[in-house]
Amino acid sequence: MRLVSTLLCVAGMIALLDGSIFHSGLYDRLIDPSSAAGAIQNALSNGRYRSTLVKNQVLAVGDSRMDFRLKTTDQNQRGGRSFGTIAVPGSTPRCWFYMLRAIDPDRNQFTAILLPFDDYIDEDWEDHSTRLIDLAMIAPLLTLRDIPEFCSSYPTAELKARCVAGLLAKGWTYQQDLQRLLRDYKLRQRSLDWTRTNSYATLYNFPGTEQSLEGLTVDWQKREFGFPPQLSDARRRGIEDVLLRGGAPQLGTLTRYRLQWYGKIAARYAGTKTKLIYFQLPRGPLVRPTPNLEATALRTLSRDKNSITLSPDLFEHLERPKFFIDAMHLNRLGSERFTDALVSAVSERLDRP
Amino acid sequence: MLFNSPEFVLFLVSVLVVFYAIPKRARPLLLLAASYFFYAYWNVKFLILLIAITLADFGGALAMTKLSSTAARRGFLTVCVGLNLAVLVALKYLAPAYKGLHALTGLPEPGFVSDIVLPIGISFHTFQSISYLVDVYRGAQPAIRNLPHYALYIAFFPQLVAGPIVRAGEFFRDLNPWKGPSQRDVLRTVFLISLGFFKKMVMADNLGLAADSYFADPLLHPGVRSALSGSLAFSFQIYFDFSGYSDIAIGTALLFGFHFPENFRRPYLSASVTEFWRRWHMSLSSWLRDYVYIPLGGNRNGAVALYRNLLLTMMIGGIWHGANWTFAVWGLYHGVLLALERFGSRFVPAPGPVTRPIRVAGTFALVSLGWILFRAADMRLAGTVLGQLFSTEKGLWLIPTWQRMLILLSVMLSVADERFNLEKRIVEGHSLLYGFAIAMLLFAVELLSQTDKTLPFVYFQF
Repeated sequence: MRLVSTLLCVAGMIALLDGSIFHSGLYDRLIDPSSAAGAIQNALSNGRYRSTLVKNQVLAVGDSRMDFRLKTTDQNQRGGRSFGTIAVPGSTPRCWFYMLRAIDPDRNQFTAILLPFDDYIDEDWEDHSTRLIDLAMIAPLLTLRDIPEFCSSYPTAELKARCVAGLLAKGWTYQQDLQRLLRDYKLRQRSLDWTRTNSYATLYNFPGTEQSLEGLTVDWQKREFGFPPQLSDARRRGIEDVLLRGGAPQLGTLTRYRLQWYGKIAARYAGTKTKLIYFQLPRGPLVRPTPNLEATALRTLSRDKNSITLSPDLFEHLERPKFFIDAMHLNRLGSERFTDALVSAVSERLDRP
Repeated sequence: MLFNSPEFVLFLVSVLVVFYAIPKRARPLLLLAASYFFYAYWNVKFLILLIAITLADFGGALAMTKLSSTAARRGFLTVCVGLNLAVLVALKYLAPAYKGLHALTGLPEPGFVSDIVLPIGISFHTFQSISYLVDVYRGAQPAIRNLPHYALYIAFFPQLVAGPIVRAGEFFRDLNPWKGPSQRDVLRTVFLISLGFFKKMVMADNLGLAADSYFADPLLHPGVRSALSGSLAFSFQIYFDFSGYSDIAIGTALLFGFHFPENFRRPYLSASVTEFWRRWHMSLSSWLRDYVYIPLGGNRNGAVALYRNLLLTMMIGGIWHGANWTFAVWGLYHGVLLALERFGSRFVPAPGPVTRPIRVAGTFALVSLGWILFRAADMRLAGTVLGQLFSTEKGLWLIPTWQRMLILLSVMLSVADERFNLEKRIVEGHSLLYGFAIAMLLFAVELLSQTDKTLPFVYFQF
C-alpha cells in the first residue's frame, strides 16, 4: 500500500508542478515572441486589441501567404466594416480552429471570417495532419479536454501518443522555449517588452518587400525555368521545389483534412451571424498545369448557408512573376493589390441582400 | 535501443509484465530471450558472436573443473582467456593498429579491416567472462552447469552494453534462489531510474553540447575560459552520463530481483586519486585490481614492482577504453599519479576537516586534466586544449549560467548525500519527501532535457 500511495504522490506532485506553471497559463506570458507559439500568442493579442478599436470587423486567418496589407488606422474600412488579420506564418487550418476559439469564444465578435485555400482543388502533396509543430504552436490554446479531439487528428499511433504526452506534460512541449529563456532571460524580457509595445503597429503597417520575380519564365513540358539573373541558387531551388511538385499519390488526404478542420470552423459558426468566406489565394508567380482533381472539400463546405465562396478567378491577374518574391509569397505591390481586391470582393458580397 | 528511448520503455514494460505472469522456473529463460532480443536490436551479427563466446566460456569453465592438474587447468584458463582477449583485440584494436601502421609506413591496409565493426558492449562482457573463468580457476566460483543461467549472466540486458561488470557470485546469489524485489527495492528502483534519467538527460546531454562543441575545434573558441569551461563540461558530462547509465542499469536489474553493486560513489568528492579510483567505475577498478594488479604481484614484491604494477594496470585500464594513444597516455597519467601518491603517503598525513576540501579540489583538478586526454580525438588536440588553459586570451564561458547553477546544486546534493546518505533517507522516508524528490527529478527531465536530439551514452563506444 505504501508503494501505491507513494507512486500516486509522485504522479500528483508532477501534475501539480506542470499544471501550476504550464496549464495555468502562467508561462504563456513568457513565450518567446519570435517562436511559432509566440507568433500565435502575438497575433491573438493584436487581434483582441484591434477588436477594441474597430467595429463590424471582418477577420482573416491564414499562414504567411495570407498577405493582407492592413493599416492600424481605419484605412481598411469599407462600407462600415473594418478588416483585421490573425494570420500567422506556418499555421494551418487545424491551428485556425483553435485560434478562432480563443479570440472569439462566444462566436459573436466578427461579421465574417476569411478562410483561405492555397488552391480550391484538393491536391495531396504535403500532409498537414502529421505536423507536430501544430502542437507546439497552439499548446497555449489547448486544455486537457482538447486531448481526445486534437490528438486523434494525427494519423499514426506514434504521433497521437506524442501529442497526448505533449499535452499532459505541457512542460515538455515548452522545453526548448524554456531553455532559451534560461540561457538569456534578459534578452527574452527585452523581446517581450518590444513586442508588447510595437508588434501591433509593425504588423499592421508592414510595408512588404520590393523584390520580384520579374523575368521568370517556364517551359512546363520540359520542366525548365528561365530565372532572372539576380536570383540566388537557393531561391531558384525553392521555386523549382514548389512549382515542379507533383507525382504524389492522390489518396484524398487533403480532402479529409479540409473537411475536418474547415468543417469544424463551419460547425462552430453554424447558426450565428458570422459569415464564413472561402477564397483561393494567388497560386503563384506562374500557375502549374492544373491536375485533373476536384474541389471536393470546398463543394461540401459551400453548401452551408452561412458560407460565401469567392470566384477562383478573383486573383488571376496577380498570378504573375512581377507580384511575387518567391514561389508562394507576394511582394509589396502584389500584396497591396491582393488586399484591395479581397476587401472589395468581400464587401461587395457582404453588401448583397 | 537507448535506455532513454520510448522503445526501451515499451520493451521493459513488456518484459516485466510477462516476467511476473509466468512461472518462476521459466523466468531466467524469458530474461535470456529478452536480453538476446535487446542485443540483436543493435545488430544481429553481434548476437551470434556473443552466443559463440558464451558457449566457449561455458564449456571451458566446465572442462577446467574436470582437470585435476593445476598446470593443465592453468593452461586451459590461458586458452579460454586468450580466446576472449583475441576476439576483443581483433575487433577493437586491429583496425586502428592497421590504420596507424599504414599512416607510419605506407603499408596497405587489408580490405577486411575497414569492414570491422565494434560490437556494442564487447569490452564489458569480455571482462565479465574473464572474471568468471578466473574465479572458477581459483575455486572462488563453482562452474555453472545450467547453460541458460550462464548465458543470462553474460547477456543480461540491464548491464550488457555498458556495465557494471558484475561478478558471477553477485549474480548467481540473486538467481538461485530467486527472490522478488521487496517494496523497498521497487521504491529504490524508481528513485535510481529517475535519478539516472536526470543525470543523463538533464546534466550529461546539456553539458555534452558545450563539451562536444569545444573539443570539435578548440581554436574556434580560443582562450582560458573556453578551455576551462569546455574541459569542465566534459568532466561533468562523463560523470553524469556514466553514473546515470549505471543508476538506470542497477535500478532496472532490481526490478527483476537482481542486486547489482554500486558503480559510482560521488567520485569527485575524493581527496586523492587513490580514493578516486575506489569511487569511480568501481566495477572496472575492482576488476583491474583483482585480475591484473594482484596477479602481477600487487604490492607484495617491493616498491619498484609496486609502481610498475600500478603503471601497467592503469595503462591496461586506459587501453581498455579504446585503441588511441590518448587512452594509453590517460591510463599512464593516472598510473603515475597513483604511484606518486603511494610514494608520498609515507610523508603526507591523511586529510583532516580543513585540508580535505583543498585536497578534494586538487584531486578534481588533476582528474579533469586527465579527462582532456581522454576526450581529445588525438594527442595533438589534447596538447592544444592544455595549451589553451595557459593562454593569455580570456575566451568565453561555454557552459550557460543555468547549467552552472545545476552543477553547483549537484555538488551540494552530493556533499549532503556523502554526509547524510540522502538516497536512503529519501527511499525509506516519508511518502511526501520521496514523492517530492522523484517529482523534481522527472520534472527537470521534462523541462531541461534535449529530447529533440538523440545523444547516446558516452560509454557505449567502449
